[in-house]
Amino acid sequence: MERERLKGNLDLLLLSVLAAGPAHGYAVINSLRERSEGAFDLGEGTVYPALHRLEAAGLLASDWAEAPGRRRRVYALTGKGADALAAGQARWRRFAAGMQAVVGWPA
Amino acid sequence: MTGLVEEYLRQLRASLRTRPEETSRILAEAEDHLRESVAAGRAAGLTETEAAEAAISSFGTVRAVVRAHQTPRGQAAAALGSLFMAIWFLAGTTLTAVFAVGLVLTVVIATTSPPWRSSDPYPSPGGLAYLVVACGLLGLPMLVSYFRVHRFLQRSRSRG
Repeated sequence: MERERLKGNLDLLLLSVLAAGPAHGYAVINSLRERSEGAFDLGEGTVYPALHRLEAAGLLASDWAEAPGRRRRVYALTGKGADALAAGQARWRRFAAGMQAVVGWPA
Repeated sequence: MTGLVEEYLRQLRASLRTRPEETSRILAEAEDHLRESVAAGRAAGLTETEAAEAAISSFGTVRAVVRAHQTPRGQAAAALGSLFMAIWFLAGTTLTAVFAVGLVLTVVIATTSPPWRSSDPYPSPGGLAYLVVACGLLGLPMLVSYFRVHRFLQRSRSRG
């Protein structure tokens, strides 16, 4: 999967992962990798700015939590984020259906 | 925490061009992430060093992480700042070089040439001396202040 194409859909991917429940950055990135079966493998450090941006847009909320010997930031979907996720999923379904109708699955 | 991770975080702190509270958050998240990643590597059977190298490699280079955290406005400001510093250094170096070369020339002319007369087809060595002194008076303080500012910026970045 090309990184640029992945970056264009990163917001929707992050919102989708966090729809399962609040999580810290490392867990979000791990979940993204596991759910995509390794296909989505971004530079991990570049995912945090996207989380910060989504928070600034009001789609995520975050708070510090205590981990052994350190602090960690836990992110959660907001109501506005859930709405954005639903809209993004609908757009993605239309796009995927259109692509599949034209391109089809390889024989 | 391994020395490799500490060194990575030190470099990241020194390179980030973000507000102090933002820098603190970025570093805390990076530290948490890298420690989790090293622990996962250790659990998978890697040595401490191998786990740290793998964690840092997956996290991304300091340059890539810094770039990802910069807003377009921050990127423009950083580029403008670098350009200003480069011009400052270049101007200081050029003026100092002219001063050094001019000083040698002035001494050579003064000691080897016959006394200058107003009918001579070339300018007075005295005029050259004034130009050389002016270049030195401008160039040397420019160069010294450049290095002071450069060192101050590096120190304040590493302090975060």
